[in-house]
Amino acid sequence: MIQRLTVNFRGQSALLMMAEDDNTRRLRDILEKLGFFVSRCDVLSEGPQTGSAIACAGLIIVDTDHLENPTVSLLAGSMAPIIALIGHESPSRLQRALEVEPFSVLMKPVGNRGVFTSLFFAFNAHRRHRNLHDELSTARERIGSRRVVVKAIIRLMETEGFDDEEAYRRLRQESMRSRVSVEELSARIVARGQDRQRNESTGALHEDRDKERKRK
Amino acid sequence: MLNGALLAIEEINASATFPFILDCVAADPAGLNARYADLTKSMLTDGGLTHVVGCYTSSSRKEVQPYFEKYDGMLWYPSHYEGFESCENTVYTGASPNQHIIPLANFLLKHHGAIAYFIGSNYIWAWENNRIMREAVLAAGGVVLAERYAPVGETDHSSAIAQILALRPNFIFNTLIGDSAYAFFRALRAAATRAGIDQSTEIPVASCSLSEPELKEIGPEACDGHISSSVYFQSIATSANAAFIRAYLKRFPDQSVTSADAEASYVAVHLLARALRSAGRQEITAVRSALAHVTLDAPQGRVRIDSDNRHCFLTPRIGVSTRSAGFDIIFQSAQPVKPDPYLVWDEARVDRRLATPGIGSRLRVVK
Repeated sequence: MIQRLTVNFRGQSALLMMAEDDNTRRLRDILEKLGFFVSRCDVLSEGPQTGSAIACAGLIIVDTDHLENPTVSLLAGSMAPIIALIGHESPSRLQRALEVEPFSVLMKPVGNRGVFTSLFFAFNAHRRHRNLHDELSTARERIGSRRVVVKAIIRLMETEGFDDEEAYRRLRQESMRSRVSVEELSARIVARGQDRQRNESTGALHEDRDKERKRK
Repeated sequence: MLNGALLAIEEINASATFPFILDCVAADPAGLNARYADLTKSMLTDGGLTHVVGCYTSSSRKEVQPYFEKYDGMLWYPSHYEGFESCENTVYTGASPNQHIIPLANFLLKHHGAIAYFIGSNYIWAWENNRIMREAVLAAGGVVLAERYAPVGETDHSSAIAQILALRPNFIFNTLIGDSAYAFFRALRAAATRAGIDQSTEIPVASCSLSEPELKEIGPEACDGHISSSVYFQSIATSANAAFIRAYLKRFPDQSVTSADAEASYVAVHLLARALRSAGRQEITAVRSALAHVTLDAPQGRVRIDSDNRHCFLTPRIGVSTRSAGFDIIFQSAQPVKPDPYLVWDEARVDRRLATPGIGSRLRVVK
């Protein structure tokens, strides 16, 4: 599927987790010109207000020079892309920065150059990551329900006399027609008793077969 | 470009309202990016200069900007460009994308349809302009039949032209530059005529850059009927423009036309002089804070600098070229338009209702 890239940030909310200083002022100024609504909280704040600010943000930029454990845990639950604002390039600080899983970085001092690029990577790499994450969950579910699909195929082979290819084809056809996943439909078929299944759940499959006969 | 700047320098030096004389040091990098860098460095260090007017291509601009940042100089960049930049050490006096590409997209979608063919020179300006135009075409439910790039300087476009005549797009969006573009215009017109197609009405070519001197380069056989989006055309009927044309042709008798690039560099020098006068010194911090207060009644109309991004408020226009190597202006913005180099605000202004409905509506993935 073609992914549209985010290059316009108008109307997004940005949460700056950093002290109020010249960097912050410049950064706020640049973000507002790019259409962001900007709010700020201190990097060490950890009350429920900070939690809800993090939950509402469309983007979080955090000063990782001053990052401590409580903030790292708060940020771990965030659904928004995170940008690490970095001053010290020492490995210990960079390691701390990595713990919040940033999708891009900004270097201090903040200037016009680099902010747009950093935003571009934060938003687009984050979306790619979320998509992969979603695909992974789906794939895991699929693997988990393979046994039940196999059982449903065997059941259809026994009750309808299909071979395995045909049984699977029928399953897919019926899954598309009734708009439930193959896994879900298989679970239903398996869950029903053999006698009831003959009369009800494969009713749709019989109908399909009837329709096909009529077309012929 | 040099002519526009020289004319402005002479006007300022001849004017009693400026309490200084601009001393001009000119250097010619001959289009070589490496020379741009060397010359800039020596101008800003050994030459002791602070303000430099110049650069045409985006690649040359990117080459010199680090030096302006390092030595705290100001580049006055007099060319329309693709946007997505706001360097603290650059004043941009040419059009931003919302001042030429977006108006052109709206015009084409409204008057010619949404089936587009893109051809361009293979570099940043063409790539980014095509991205912006493609977004506009797709948003209007249209299609881009092809997006082709030729090496800078390439003059053989026969395979693209054959494809264009076979596909018959509603319009061609051209981002070829220089000789490559002139060769394309001539060959397309000749091939269309051979095929019995009235190219300028059936498959018009639209550009963000086509200017009067370029029409002369294309030649009388193929220079008419092309659509160009620009903030300046020689045919603008104002007294300021009439005075500019008179002065320009008098000063450069070997030239027969003015151009958007001549005007942009003319505007750059005039804005620089006004900023210097307002700041009272040439030091960059003072000049930068004076930018917000500078306005100019330029040949194209009122121009002022947006202190948010150091780009200019300019007046978009659409022209159609004539056989006599000029442009008939068929659209003009009612007032100067605020520059939006990152297309934060203007992207949404591409009018989605303009396009012919029903063509190329986007497919939805269902399974």
